[in-house]
Amino acid sequence: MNKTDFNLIIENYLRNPFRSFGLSLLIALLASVLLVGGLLSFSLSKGLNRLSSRLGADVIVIPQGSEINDQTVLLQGDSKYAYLPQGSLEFIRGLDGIEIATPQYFLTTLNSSCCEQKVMIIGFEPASDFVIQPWIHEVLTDKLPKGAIVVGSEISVGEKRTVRFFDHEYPVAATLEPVGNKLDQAVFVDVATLADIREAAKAKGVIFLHQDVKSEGSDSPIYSSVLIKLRAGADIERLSREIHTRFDGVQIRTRKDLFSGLEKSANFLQIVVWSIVALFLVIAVAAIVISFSLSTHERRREYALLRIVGYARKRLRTLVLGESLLVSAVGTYIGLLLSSVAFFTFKIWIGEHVGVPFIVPATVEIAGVYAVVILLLHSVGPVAVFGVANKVSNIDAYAALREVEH
Amino acid sequence: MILNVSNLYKTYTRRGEEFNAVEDVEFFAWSGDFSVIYGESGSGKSTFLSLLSGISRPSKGSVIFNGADFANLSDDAISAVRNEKIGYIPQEVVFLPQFSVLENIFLPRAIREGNKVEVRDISELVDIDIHSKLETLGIAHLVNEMPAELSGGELKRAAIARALVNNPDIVIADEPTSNLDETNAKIVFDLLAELAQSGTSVLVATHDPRGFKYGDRIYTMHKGRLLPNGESDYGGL
Repeated sequence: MNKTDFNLIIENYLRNPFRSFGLSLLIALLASVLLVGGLLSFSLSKGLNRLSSRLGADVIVIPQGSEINDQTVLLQGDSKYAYLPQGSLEFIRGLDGIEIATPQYFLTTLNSSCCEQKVMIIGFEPASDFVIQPWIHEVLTDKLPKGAIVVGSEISVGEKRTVRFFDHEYPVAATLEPVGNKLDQAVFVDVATLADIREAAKAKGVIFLHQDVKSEGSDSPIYSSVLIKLRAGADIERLSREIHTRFDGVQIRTRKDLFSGLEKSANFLQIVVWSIVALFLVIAVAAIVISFSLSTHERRREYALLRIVGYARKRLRTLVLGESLLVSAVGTYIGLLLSSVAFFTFKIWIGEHVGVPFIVPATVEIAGVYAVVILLLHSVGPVAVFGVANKVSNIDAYAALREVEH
Repeated sequence: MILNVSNLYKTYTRRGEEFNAVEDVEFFAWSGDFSVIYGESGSGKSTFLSLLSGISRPSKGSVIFNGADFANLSDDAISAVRNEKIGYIPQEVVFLPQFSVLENIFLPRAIREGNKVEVRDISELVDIDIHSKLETLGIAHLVNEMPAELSGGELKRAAIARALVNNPDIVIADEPTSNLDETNAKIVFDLLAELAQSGTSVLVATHDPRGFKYGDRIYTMHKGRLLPNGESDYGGL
């Protein structure tokens, strides 16, 4: 393609701006849904993979009436209104098929220096924990220092790298990688630090949603949840029966049940997204083909003229393909610009509302999605009009010239 | 010899029956020739000229231009020849409506040089010997207008200027004086004669009797057959 071709392509595009820009807007819409769909799909896959890799527990035991959040339940309980019965941890540890069982303590502050919204504090028992600590070890190779805390990716820690609870500063040992759900807004502490926070709260007269980690009049701790790793071949049904027989007011959820639910939600979302993309693709291709068929037919005498003044057939084809490429390119960049602004402005809102784990991809991955979208959409126009372009290149210039002008 | 045409046929099928729009034509053209082909509408003149310019491919026979047989040339090569060596003036007036008259006239040169078509002003074309021709054709003052703003006669003259912009070896003109009044028709024929005198081969198909006096050689075309003047059953001139 030389300057002549390029000039003719630009002028043809500008000649009927309503038609050209209309088609470009259609491509822009396609680019938008494709980009957002791609990023969303990538984010969901990444969120699910991250969550899957961190699902340390096979089974979680939580109090009846707890709010179950499928995204977080295997990493934490969410027992706002109840605790597990006393002695439940010891009982569970004594059952056949249990490889390890670890308790979690769950506190909720109404606010803190770090966050405008309430902060979840998840306490774990270092000696038995097999869920939180491996996760912490991804970003902190050393042992968690005494009195230090680990925060989720969305907790702001400032330059001092501390979080203030009840007039006490707690050093932040590490910030976790995002997992794409509410755990990104949680603080993780061991039981000793949890006790400190509790004491600090008491001194300030602050009451947690949960009063204490010990029941009144008893030294036996109570827990928000017990997370269980099973031995190979363990019978979950039998285990569940035994726990239910011994304790009222507990519910038992398995990893398989919860994760398959998440996968179904994510898959459904992806099907919806890609169906919309496919719909837009079909509409865009159809519109381009129809529009170019009509416009090239209207311009048959002009193509004949170009033949007369020395345009080879393949250059006519280049003109048509070039114009369709320009339509695609303009639309692609408009669409990418607008959808990028929208997606990255509202990514947190999107993440909170999709209902499944959602992690915005890394820069390189985002660049990859952009590259694929650009490549794909630049080819939409030329591929769609390839047949039309061939027809134009095979024009009988002599016959076209003699057609009555419309 | 610039052009050597022998045993040329162009066959079409109409309502299931084949007919020869051009039949067994022999034709030669040399530099400085001014050939005139006379014939009524439908006689095959335009088809013949489209074969000479390489726009259409013959069904049979050969068109040899400057020693190269069109049959052996690729579309790219024939297109390049048409752009650089042949100034073809079609009977129908066609312009690119998004470009000015000047840019339309400049179009063959832009294609030849691979430059953009847009020309802001005629002064940008100082290296092209077109100014005097535009003056002669009486359209120098119209070149910055858009084609839609010109009359049919003015566009016809602009189309002639466009065919000359690359200083072709041969000018093939199909009814160049249609839509022109007597004064402008004379201007056009005078210009073509001047070109012939300067060494360009000129071939004009017309049924305008005003052109006959310019021709070195006059032919008559009738039912696809090309006959030297005086040999036509149709009556000749």
